[in-house]
Amino acid sequence: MSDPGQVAAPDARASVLQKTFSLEELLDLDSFREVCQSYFDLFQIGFKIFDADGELLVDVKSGSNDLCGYLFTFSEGKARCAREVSLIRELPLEPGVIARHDCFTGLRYLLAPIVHEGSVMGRIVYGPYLPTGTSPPVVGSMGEKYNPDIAARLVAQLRRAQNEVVDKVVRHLAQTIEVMLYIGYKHALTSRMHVEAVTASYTELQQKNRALQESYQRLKELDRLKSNFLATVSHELRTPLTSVIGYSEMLQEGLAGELTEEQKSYVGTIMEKGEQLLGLISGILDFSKIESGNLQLNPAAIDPVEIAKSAVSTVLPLARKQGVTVELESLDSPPTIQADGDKLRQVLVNIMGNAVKFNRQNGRVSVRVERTRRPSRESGRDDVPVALAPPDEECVRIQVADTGVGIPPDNLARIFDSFYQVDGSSTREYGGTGLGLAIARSLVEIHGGTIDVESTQGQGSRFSVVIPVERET
Amino acid sequence: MVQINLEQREITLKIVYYGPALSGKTTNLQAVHQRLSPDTRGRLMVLDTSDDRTLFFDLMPVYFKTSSGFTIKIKLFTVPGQVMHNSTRRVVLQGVDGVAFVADSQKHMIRENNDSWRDMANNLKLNGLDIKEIPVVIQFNKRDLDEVRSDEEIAEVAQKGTEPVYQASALQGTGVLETLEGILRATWRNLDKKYRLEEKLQVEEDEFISHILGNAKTDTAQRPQEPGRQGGAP
Repeated sequence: MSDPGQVAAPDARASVLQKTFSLEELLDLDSFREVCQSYFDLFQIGFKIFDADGELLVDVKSGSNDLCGYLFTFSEGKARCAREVSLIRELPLEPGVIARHDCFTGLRYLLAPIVHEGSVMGRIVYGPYLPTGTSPPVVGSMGEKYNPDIAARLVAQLRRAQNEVVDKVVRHLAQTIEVMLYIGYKHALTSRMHVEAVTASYTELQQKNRALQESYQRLKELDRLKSNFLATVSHELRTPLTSVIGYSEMLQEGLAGELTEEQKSYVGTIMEKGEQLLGLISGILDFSKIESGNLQLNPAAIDPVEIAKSAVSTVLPLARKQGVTVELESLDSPPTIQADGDKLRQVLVNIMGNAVKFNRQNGRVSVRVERTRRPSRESGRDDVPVALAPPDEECVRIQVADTGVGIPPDNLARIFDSFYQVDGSSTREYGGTGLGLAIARSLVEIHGGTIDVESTQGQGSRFSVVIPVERET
Repeated sequence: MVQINLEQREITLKIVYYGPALSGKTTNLQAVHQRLSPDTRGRLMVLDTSDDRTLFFDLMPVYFKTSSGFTIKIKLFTVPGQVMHNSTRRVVLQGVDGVAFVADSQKHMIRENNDSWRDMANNLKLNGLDIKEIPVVIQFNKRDLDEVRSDEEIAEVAQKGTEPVYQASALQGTGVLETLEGILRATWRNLDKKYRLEEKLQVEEDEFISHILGNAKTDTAQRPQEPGRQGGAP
């Protein structure tokens, strides 16, 4: 069996805790663009956000900057512009340091790193804008069609801003992004960590379940083997014991010559103890058969009163010896039932035997056989309307009441457990294995019946066996 | 497992604060967070429940750039101590480079300390890691409380064991930086032996430590108690 605590070693790089996230993964881009747009609305300076690989994530354009668009229409302007773009994309940035870059037009860009956990994950390219206090740029000729008047008009429309203010705005934007990244990172870690923890627990539970299932199967197999062993051993014990009893009987009857009174008494004891042992072994055999599900019933139509009478006659000699009276009454004429007569007699002999054994001097055992009805199993439940429930079942109840010591209330529920006796020490006083009632209950249940007990300590007990008239098949 | 990214010139180490429930792992990290320079450390991410019990982990990144241009990042994690979070502890422990085991000094917590140590050893094993290969320092926390194991007793167990032992009161902030320094040094030495970090990154152990701890003064009176030879759980 595998150790239930063992789980496969996961890939050390598998956990989200080891993962390196990109800017896109940590930011909700749509919300982020809204934030960027609001920055633009406030300060009217366009800007771009690039990730660590130089991919453009956000581009907020200023309507006041048509100068770049105009210059871009000339091949000379286009080429110079492209050079500037690649410069501002690739210029190395240090965490916490904002770089300035003035383009060939004289317009200014601020480059701020986007930092998360000490690493630069991208950059803000803020601008272009025209720093206040500087003279308007003069863009050199871009070729034949270039019109300096148009360029001068577009320059006049440019957004002018103070360097200090823009610097503050960029720092603030970088901080805002850093907080957004932190929140995104926290969210990513918790949500994925949750899944990882649940997955790990699930895998562990699955492995434990498998191990438990395996051990359950093994135990079931062992239990079956134990029952088989018990059944075989009991059977093998019984065979020679039958011979011991048989030969003792022959000795006692004088088949091997007349015995002296003393010899007869000894042989009598051998027989009596042999019978006791046989009873015990038969009990174990029955019990192991029931436990292993190997008990075969031989049902037939039987008269419950006759069975009760037969059981009474079996316990009568013991009752006389103990000075206990046994009475049998049958109030109505109970119907015949489909049952295994021998097994039912065994149950009744056991209960009546107890009623005699645990009785007081000059006590009484009353056996009553009567008709009864019990709600069928389904109608006992309330998940179907009464109208749909099957009718009550017709049954026979056999009640055995005694005037004995009674059973303490705490023990009532356990007396049908195997090997249980109310008082362990009473085994010696009253004899028995503690199997009788367990076997009785099993036999009654195999018949689809029930066995119950009521008791008042010091006044006596009443056992009720209820067997359905029709056996369920 | 240390992550070395030569292309981005970045190396990431993972240190985990382990220990029984309520031994003060989060408090350790909070104390470290308060004492390190904001230039060196990031935000302290605390993922706890409404009653302040760690749910998944706490995380605080510490980082600096070496003169050779390498970014060295150390991620300090705590695990949730409650028994029911075992699978989370196992996930957090994946790829760990060093462990600061935060034991509870209180006398009645000896059993919990031991159980947590065994739990850690088992979780390391399930992650394919050998406790003998991972640097571990032991911190006896809550020294400010009554009914704790005596200094002599701790000195004695420190002498018998193989792991460096520190005494701390995370709540008062004593001993936490010493513990951090202890586990950082042990981890650095171990990784240097494996990957020749000093040679590759051109950073020596003392420089590595001073970059992180900076001016967060370490009380030299609290050196680790020297371990002896025999091993054993705290």
